[in-house]
Amino acid sequence: MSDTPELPRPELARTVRGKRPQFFATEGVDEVMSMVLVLAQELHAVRERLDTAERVMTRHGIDLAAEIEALQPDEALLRTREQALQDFYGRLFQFSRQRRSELEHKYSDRTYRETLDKVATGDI
Amino acid sequence: MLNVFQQADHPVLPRASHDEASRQNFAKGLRGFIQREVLPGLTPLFAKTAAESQSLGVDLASRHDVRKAMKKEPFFQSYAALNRTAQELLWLSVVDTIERDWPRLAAEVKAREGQGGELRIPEAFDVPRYVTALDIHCMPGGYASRHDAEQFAAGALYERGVYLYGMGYGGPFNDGKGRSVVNYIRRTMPDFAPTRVLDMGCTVGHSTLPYKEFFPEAEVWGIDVAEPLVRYAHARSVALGETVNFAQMNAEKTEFEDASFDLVVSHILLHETSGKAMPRIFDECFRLLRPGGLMIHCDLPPFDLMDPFTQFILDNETYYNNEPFWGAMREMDQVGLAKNAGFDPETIRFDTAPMVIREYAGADATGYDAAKADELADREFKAGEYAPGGGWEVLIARKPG
Repeated sequence: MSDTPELPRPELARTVRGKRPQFFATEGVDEVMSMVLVLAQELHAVRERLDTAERVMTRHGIDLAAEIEALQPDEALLRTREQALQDFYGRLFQFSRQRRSELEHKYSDRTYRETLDKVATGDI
Repeated sequence: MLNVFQQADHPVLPRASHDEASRQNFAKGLRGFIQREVLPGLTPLFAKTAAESQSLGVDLASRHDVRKAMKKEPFFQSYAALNRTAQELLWLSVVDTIERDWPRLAAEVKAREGQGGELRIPEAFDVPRYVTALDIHCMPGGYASRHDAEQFAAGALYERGVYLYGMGYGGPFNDGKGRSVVNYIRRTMPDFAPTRVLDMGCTVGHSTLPYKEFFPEAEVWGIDVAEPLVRYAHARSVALGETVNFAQMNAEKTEFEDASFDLVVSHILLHETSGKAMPRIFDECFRLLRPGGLMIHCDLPPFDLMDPFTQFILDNETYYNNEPFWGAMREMDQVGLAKNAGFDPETIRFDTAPMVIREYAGADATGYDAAKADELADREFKAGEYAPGGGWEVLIARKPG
């Protein structure tokens, strides 16, 4: 096969002829479900890859799974990890962080429109 | 049941990388999960919805009434959206593999040209509109996709995608329907030995190959309207060591001579045709058969004996999976069509060809053990699941002779 000249790779269709139904009454929920499932699919692939990595290491004499279980984090590692975890929460709950800020600062659609007017014709 | 059924490898099967295989398995497993854990909730939801409608004096008398009421229910919305999304993930996870594996796949297909049986592809061909109007079962590009110059990609996509869709219930070579019908013939008509067999709407030859395996002396033909499917089917049959002929032809009007086959079969073809095409296909089967020859269509049973809720569940494919003829086909009078075509009325009947999943248990096929096979074969079929418990529905008719 190696001496066969390489054929141009096609770009196959990734969309479907025909209207996709909207299942949820609220616009956008269908899209979010699709995105969540793609992320879940990817998480599954990554998790399985890690599992594969452990098994390959075992074949080479390193019991990675057992070593992972046996690892005792020292205080420095605990701190590093906790920081990473809290940062992750921050990204995950970015939306509620924004909403809380709006409540605290009394941001609203009205104040936003007022800002537009002020910038356009006001004294700021 | 933990479903670890694995498709049998062969040279023209798209070979997934580690992560692609994980994504494909995610889609297959998700389908199983939805059937097992989500689908059963629709029954009590329907009971509640029907009772509420009843209290308002509205009877959900038809599958359309049921759909109208159920569409508003958030649980149904989640079920239907999950099903649709699983279908999208499934196809796209295979598209990734085909694009990446393309040079190898294309070379393997090309290497099989001129081998095995005949491959007949005409210069010009009109693919019927009922196949191209929508991408059936949401397969991106459809059967007759023009996206690849080599014209086999849709076959490769179908080969892997349908295995995942069927969650392996059709066996490692996804030939369960063909095997079921062959077994049915051998059991009920042990003396019937066809010398020429035609499989209409053969796609990649999943169901075609068992006819050659069980009737090795017979000349076996598979026809389909899509060029990429028959080209792939030919390469696949060579790869699997079977000498079967394939041609791009329309089952409504083939190019074969009158009275030239003993057996004309189809598997899940009719529901992908149209109200206009179906009678023509029955007429064509009659024309092609020799006196005493058999027509067997393995497809969806008619709606007439089912309650509206069951009909509604089955009909989800029509509305949510780009299967435009799925519901309407079940309302066709198939017995009447066979009579009109000229078949012997005494011989026209629906019957069940038992699933053959037990046969795979002994074979060298990963994941197919006897306990799982029994569990699948003996289960009570619930509407909305893939694959019946007992077996596949077949319509049989004999040409007078």
